[in-house]
Amino acid sequence: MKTKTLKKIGIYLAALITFILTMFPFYWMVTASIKPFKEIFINPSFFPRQFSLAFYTQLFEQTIILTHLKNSLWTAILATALTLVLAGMTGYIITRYSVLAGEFMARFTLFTYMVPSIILLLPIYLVMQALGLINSHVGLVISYLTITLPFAIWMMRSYFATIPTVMEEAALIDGANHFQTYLYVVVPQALPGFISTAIFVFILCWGEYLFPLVLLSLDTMKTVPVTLAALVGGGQNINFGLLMAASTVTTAPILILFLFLQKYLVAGFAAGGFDK
Amino acid sequence: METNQNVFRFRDEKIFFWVSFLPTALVIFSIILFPILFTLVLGFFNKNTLVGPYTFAGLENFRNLFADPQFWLAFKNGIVYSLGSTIFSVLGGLLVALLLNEEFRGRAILRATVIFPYIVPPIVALFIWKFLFNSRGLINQLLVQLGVIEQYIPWLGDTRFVMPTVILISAWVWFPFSAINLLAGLQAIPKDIYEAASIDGASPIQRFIQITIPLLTPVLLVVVIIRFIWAARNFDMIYLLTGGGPLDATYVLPILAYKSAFSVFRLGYASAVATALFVFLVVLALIYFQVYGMATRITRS
Repeated sequence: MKTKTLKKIGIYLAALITFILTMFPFYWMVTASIKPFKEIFINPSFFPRQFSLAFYTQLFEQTIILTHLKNSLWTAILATALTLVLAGMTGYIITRYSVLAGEFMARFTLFTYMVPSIILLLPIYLVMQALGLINSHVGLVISYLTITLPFAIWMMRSYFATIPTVMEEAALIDGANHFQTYLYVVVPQALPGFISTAIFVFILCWGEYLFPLVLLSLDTMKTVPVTLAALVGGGQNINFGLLMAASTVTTAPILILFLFLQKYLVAGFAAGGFDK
Repeated sequence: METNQNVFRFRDEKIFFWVSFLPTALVIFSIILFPILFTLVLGFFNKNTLVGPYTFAGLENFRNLFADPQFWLAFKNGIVYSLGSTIFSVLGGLLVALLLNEEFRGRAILRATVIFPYIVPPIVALFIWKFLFNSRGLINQLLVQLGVIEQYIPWLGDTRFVMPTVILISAWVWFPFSAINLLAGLQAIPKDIYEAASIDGASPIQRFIQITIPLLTPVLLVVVIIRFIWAARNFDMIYLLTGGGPLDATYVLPILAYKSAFSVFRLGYASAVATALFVFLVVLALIYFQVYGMATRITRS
């Protein structure tokens, strides 16, 4: 009995430590952003003694982070939509149509997981330059597909494989063509898989740093990770309060997805797994 | 894959197939396969401005590369960094997975919050840690108050401390991947094996060593290799934390490739660096496929 109680205590202690280790940095980020400037480093306290929105006022008045947020949001949504259309149909046919194609695609996806973004970067830059797509969100969205598409096909494929084919066959026998069957029978059944994939693809695009860094040079076109990096600049005399305010704003959309669509996140995590 | 293939015997199946297949194949070819080939070929050329001409250089770039002490430094740093990051993120992930495999109140909440470091934009996570590890930051203040250190340490600015610090930060960002995948591995171990063992009088530690470790090994191997490859190919983490410094103490191949291309515009040389990294990762990937195949075979039997 005694060892059981001890084990219980050990488990709750470990759970508490894990929780603090994962969440404390985010607590520190939010509280730093609402502290007055002088409290950031001098005797930092766990609870802000004074509340101040000065960093947020500074952020929205002195930087164009709202424009950058808008750019991030719109490019991430566009890339997510494009990825879902392409990966949905491709994932579907390689699961249903050909075992060989499916196997090849699976291997290929794993292979692209090994490819460093840096190897794609230079050719993509040169091609975008030739096509006049530098400083263009279209070019940026296309570059996002290098990361999102293999991953999304992989995830959708594993989802389609769990759906029974009975309904599709019934629809085809009733005279629906393949496009109608896919749109009206397959997509509704695979909706949870689409939602999971969409969340992960959005998260990947929202956090992507390297491609926007290289493909965008006009300040008004940039996305929010590049803004954050610009706030750090050369690394001397960083205004950490301002930086934490900007970080909090950048995390907000992800937090919203996390709070409202949590079950899709946890479910999708083991199914695909992605690198950032 | 036992799905019914008769679904596609109808008249419009060919059109549907090509409409589903061709756009994706085209996109994948033009933005993944073509760029890889392009970089592989560009390594054999000299091109020293973004708009300039291509001149064939044979093996010159690779000869320069292998004679460049910076290349070997970056290679060595990359191995240290990837190994350290892999060890700590997998170990941390394993501990968390073992914890989440137990029954306790609040488990569902913990399982959800544990993935948070992995889903926030990496740049946000890195800058929070830059703030915490700052010379005047919280970690230094706490350590001084506890009497562990006497004066503030510039964790990311001192050649002795920078690599361990970067490794710890990367392990914090990446441990959720290991945790969730290892948890899935743990949950796939049948409960009755444990019950049989405890009836036979095996202690919890014996059960862990004789049942959990061997049955988890296939998943563990896959997680280890994939984590190593992803750390070795990663650019943002080190670039944003230290930029490769101080004094090149965290200089790694992706940074060398990036700087050769976009700071000094030696595009052929940059391609040679990227190619070297790529070849190294492909070799690792081949090992990965072997392990993956082995792991699936062991899991099945």
